[in-house]
Amino acid sequence: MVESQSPLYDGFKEILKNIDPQRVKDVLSYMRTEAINFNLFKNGTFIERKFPFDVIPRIVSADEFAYLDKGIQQRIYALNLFLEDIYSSQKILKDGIIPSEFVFSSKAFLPAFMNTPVSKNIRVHISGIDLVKNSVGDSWVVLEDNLRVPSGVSYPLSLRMLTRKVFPEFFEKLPIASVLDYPELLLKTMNHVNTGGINVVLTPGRYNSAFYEHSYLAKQSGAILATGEDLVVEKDHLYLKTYNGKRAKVGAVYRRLDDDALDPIEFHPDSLIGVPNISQVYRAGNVGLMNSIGNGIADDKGIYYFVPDMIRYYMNEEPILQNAPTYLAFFEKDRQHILQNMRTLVIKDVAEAGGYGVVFGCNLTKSERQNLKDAIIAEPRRFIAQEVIEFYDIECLAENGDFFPRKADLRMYSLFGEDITVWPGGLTRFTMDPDSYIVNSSQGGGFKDTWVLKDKR
Amino acid sequence: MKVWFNYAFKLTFSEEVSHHAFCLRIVPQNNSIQQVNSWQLHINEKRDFSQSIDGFGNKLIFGAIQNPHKVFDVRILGEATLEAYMYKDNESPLMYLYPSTLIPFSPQIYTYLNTLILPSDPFAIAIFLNQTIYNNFQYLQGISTPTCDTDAFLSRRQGVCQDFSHLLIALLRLNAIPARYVNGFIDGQGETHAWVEAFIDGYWRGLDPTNGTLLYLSPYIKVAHGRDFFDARLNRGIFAGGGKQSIGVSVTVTKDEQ
Amino acid sequence: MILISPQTAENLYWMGRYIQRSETMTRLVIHTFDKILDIDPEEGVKLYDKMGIELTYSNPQEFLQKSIFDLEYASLICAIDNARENAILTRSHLPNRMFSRINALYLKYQNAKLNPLVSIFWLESTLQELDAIWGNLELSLVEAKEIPFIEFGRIAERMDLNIRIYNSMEAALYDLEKLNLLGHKLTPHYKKLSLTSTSVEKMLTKINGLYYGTIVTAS
Repeated sequence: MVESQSPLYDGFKEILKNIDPQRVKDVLSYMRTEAINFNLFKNGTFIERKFPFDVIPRIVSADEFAYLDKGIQQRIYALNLFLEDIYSSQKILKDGIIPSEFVFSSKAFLPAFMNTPVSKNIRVHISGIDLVKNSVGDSWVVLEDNLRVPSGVSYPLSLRMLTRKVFPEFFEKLPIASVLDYPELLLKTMNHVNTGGINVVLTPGRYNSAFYEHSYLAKQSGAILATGEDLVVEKDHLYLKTYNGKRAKVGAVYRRLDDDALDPIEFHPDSLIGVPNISQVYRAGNVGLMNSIGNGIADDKGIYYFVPDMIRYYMNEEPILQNAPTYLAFFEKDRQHILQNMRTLVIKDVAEAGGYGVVFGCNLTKSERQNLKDAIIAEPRRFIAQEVIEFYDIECLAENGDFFPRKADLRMYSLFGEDITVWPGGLTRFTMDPDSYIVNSSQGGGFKDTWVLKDKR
Repeated sequence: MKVWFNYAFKLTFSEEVSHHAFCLRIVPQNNSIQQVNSWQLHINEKRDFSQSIDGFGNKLIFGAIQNPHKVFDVRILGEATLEAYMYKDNESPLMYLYPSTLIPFSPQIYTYLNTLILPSDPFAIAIFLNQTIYNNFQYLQGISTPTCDTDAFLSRRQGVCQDFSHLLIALLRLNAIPARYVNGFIDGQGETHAWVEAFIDGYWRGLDPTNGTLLYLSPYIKVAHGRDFFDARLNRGIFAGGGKQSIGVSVTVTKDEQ
Repeated sequence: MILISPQTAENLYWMGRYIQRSETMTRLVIHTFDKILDIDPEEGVKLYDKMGIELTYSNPQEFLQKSIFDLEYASLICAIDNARENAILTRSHLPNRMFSRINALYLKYQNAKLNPLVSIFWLESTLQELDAIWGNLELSLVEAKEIPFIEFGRIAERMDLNIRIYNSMEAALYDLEKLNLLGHKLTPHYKKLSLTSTSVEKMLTKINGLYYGTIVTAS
């Protein structure tokens, strides 16, 4: 089913009809001029690639956004409380809401960071929540939470800036919410958790696939872009080296490095891109790290199952946003359901990231299915299964002006500073392959902007 | 029991190193059976370091030496009062029931476990496993490295205190007895020692599988603990340069004469 | 405190050098192409000889092709590649328009690479792009803290090429004053450079080592 065939897109299509196709090409050339890239390592060589995009946006109604806004705020608030709890008194485990096995056997749980207070008790400063809209019932479900180093915001942001210039009529005639204040929101968040000093964006470097985004956000927010080499720990504070030998104290770091790469002394010794002993500055409370260390336990695919329970437990509220119907092989009843209904489910390996460990039961041969069943019985803790959601397609614009539909998800972003702000935009990713349900960008998809309509009142 | 401890760790580089950042776990813990009454630490004869504490309660000594140097000389001495090895603390023992990086629950370890006929009582199981490992594995240096896991030890049957301890921990965990890895100082070995704490009937007990002993009033000074060697590793550093490194370690623990 | 890391400062310096190199060499190649046409067919060989490079060509078109695309590290495309690489690294410190113009020139070269024959008109049009890049720098309203590094690189490169290719001490001395002023601006520890030596080699070494010798402090 194609969402962009609904009345919500009528206004857009009406305006699009009167636009010269040459202007679409203009957007493409602007993206090239600005070198908006999503770089890849393919077969050992570095390839600079433009992230393919399409000009037809996802459109979200004002009511839908109001719903998503409340739902995401609630979800992030609960996840933040979960992280605070799991790294201190662990009440949610003691009260039996989540089997402790799930937390303690996860590689993402970092006991070395128990009892480390964080600035303003905020751990999920920036989140990316992946959602799809179910064509059955028109309801949104959360597929995944990204609470470690969520990326992608600069792509729709850049596309928005260009679209406004190339197609101003859309913005004159349709009530589209502005998204251009993202860098300001980021700055506010950084300032809120800053413990005293400058703001820094810590990047793995030029060859990272999101380097463009790191540069862009640093520039727009006024934070200094730095690599691990540019930073140094002296006593128990963190400093930026400056060219003449002076050192500037750093109070907040928006780090675009995973925990594992962050500190070669505390974590992986082979990481050349981290800052030795930055963990100790963090432990001393002398720097705000965005996001905090150890968040991986909360976006662990196994813990996802319990997020609705977290909302009930910490907030005494019913979850506004729903998870996709999920089964944990760890639980006997769920395991039986998985083994008996594999054909209608998508099975995920808790250990994998980036979409590789995701298997559609309907695509397996009989012997492959048997092998998977055996694996599930042997290591139930590793597997989670979800019902395949028939989510909506959105149309893309072909060179000849025709429309063709592709499955598209939505990643929405939140910023947690003085309060939780859900950004009124998002990264909509679509598959290139018409038969695929996997939209993850490292596998060759494209992106669209997301237009949230303002309330007419 | 009052004890004096003295630990020295010296790295010598054939070529100068600089920008040397370090993080050490060498100050013994304070807990209900071990009180460190005093300690003194010198690094290259100075007291240029900062202190921190990790989530396990391990004390951390960290800092950096930017200027070129060829020697990294760490010395700590101090005095502690020890009680009988049986105690509670604030950590959840449940954290220590699962596999960790160097302690996988592999088919190999299940096979080994199945060859043993165990008693039923947890305390008896712990003693039995401690003795079994002591009797059936050989202490030999130079065979294993710090990144060897329990499977490697099971195949080779030879290793050092780290390997003995990891294996005991694996088998205890597989029997639903929480077990943690401990690093510390004992006398007579000339280097740091590893042993095991098992949580039985509400208390952490000390077991040394390398020597086949149940620790009770033994002069064992606990420095750090974790799920396995990685969590409790003593000394880590990053530096530029170096050439060849050689390490010298000495440890002495002496009981106060009554 | 000026919040520019040692690495960023170095990248800005080199960006300045490579853009200047691109501009000077482009003019030189155009000028030399003219000479090869009807004055001296060996003019190209002589030019690159001054840079220690052996160049051979059988006609003016080949000279053009080689000097733009084929001389490895000495080619025009290499200069703009390097300028653009440094611009990407320092993008968060540059005015948007300046980056766009550098990238646009880079893309222009990338597109031209696919064409078997490049014309002198094409090369002349790139000069307009280079003018636009410098223009953006002059008019830039963004914080001035990055500009001295870029300018330092630009002038150091200009001095190097003036001495190496034109043997023009006069032009170099004029730039020297500017360089010293910039140096003082960047660091109080700056040691004024003077060019009293008669040895070209020694002068070039001094100029090229100046940045590392006095601007950047080993950290």
